[in-house]
Amino acid sequence: MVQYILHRLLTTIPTLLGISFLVFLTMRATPGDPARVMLGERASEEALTQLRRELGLDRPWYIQYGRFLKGVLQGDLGRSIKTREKISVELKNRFPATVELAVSSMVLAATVGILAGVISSTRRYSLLDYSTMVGALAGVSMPVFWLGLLLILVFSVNLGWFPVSGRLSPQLSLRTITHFYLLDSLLTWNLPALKDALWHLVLPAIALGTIPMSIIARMTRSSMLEVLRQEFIQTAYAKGLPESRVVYKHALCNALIPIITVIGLQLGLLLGGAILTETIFSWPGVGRWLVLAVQARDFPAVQGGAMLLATTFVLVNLLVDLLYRYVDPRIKG
Amino acid sequence: MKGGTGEREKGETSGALALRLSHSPSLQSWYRLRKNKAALGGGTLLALFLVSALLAPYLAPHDPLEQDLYGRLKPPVWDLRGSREHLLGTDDFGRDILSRILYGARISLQVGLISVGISLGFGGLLGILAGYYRGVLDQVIMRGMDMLLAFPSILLAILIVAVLGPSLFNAMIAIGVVGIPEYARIVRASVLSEGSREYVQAARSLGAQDLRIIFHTLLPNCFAPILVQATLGFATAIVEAAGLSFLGLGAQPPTPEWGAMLNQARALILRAWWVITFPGLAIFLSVLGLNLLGDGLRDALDPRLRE
Repeated sequence: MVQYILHRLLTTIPTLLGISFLVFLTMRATPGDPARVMLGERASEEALTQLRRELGLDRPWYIQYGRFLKGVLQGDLGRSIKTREKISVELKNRFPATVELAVSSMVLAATVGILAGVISSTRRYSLLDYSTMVGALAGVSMPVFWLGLLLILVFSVNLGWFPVSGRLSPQLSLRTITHFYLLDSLLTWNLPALKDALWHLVLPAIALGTIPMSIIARMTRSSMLEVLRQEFIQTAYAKGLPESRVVYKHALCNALIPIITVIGLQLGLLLGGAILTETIFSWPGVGRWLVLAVQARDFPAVQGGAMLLATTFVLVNLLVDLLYRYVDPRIKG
Repeated sequence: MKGGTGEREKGETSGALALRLSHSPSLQSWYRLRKNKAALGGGTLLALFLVSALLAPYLAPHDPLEQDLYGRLKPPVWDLRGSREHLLGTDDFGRDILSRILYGARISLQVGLISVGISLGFGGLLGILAGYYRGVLDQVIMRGMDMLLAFPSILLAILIVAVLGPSLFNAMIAIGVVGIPEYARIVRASVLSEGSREYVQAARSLGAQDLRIIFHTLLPNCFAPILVQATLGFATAIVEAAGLSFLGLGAQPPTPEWGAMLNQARALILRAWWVITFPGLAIFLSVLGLNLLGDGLRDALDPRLRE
């Protein structure tokens, strides 16, 4: 196991290097002069020269890449062209928002998805089964951004149950320690802020969680059906165990491996979906920040945001892979 | 599969029976596909999408770009304030939403064809090279593909658009490039598994050249997984292009692209529900249709994969 972990960690290094190179290329591959693209057509020659020098665009590409890589390793991603703020600081403040949203969505998706799949599999071909599966099918095809808008339309605009956007109502104050608002409000025992932060989280989490929820529900159903057919389940029933115990203990535990795989795969994909969800709900995370940076052609900021999201994606997948092996000892590297 | 092959099921015509008992694998797949209600539903949705796309100029009651500043934000026909002139209402420039959605189908069809074309063309070629020649070339290609897969797809698409500049055409290229690794992997896997079969060795021992073996012998036998992936990939391409346009990085106004329509409609969410509902519904139904058909095709072409 230890050997496998080391092996996986080592093979992750070239992937991360590749990512950094691709991200680095975004600025170099821009048609025309990147400095002019960023500063606009009317920029003065001095400003252009200064920006080129600042970004190292006047040096050969390998020196530029070396500098970029060194910066990444030291956590220094340069300054945003637009705001002149340090990119690393901006990312540090926004990343917890993205993680909080992604994790909440996944918790929601896994809980509801597994429950729906289990119920579906035990009531096979019932109305409940059909409606769950039709719902799951629709969920998989649902564009995140449309679902987000519909949720706002129904639950914020028409019913007024949930806030339209943001993470916290402006009239509330919260002392930030970790920048995870749920955690911070618990740490400072600020219950109004906790309730408010949760309220803000509901709609974005549903929007982002719907696709994984549907996929998890479908996978749980098919995996459960597979297990429920096996002899040890009949033995458990024959021993006189109550149905709930057979289903949730004997069957679900054995059906869990493919479900965990799917959850892991989806966790990484959530980071992509977060880009759209954050934009709809004006969620102050890395995804929305990245989109704004692309629109403003703020390349250093784009590089920083992309580097962070892609690295997280790789590390999450690595973690899931290792966990997977831990959960199912039958799989050996 | 229920029932023996000998007994005739209720209402089955002799033609259908002959088809079911036929030994031709493609006819058998067709029969399995036709029996799959979900796939049939998907096919119907897809047909609707194709008809809208191809016949948009004849079906659309208005020019999709024509503005009517006196008829802005008209609700759909069943609303008291609606009119039969605009069945699904109008947007904030007084443009007819139904017409824009019909023309939007054209754009989505283009997006799907071009993006899947790029992914399939380049991905297929790389997959063939990797699977057929193996060795160092295989390693180099597949590690490159792993690198692309190390990005969440929409992030990679956004990066490519960031480089090329926001436009519908660049969005199609970006989505096409993002899809390449998936096709490369599928084609490589098919080429690897088929490549060791006897019929390929037979072709080789008959003195066939590499190109002939690849295009005449190998590829036709890799058709099934590629078709399934292309159908599902078409759906992904539509959603991703709409997503990029929604972020303002794809189609630009006043193009009647579904995602761009939603992006413009965001500001109207408090006033006009129909402007947000219908373009999204169009995306949803097209994607649902393609997904259903793709799943059905997978089951029909390879019964072993059936859940």
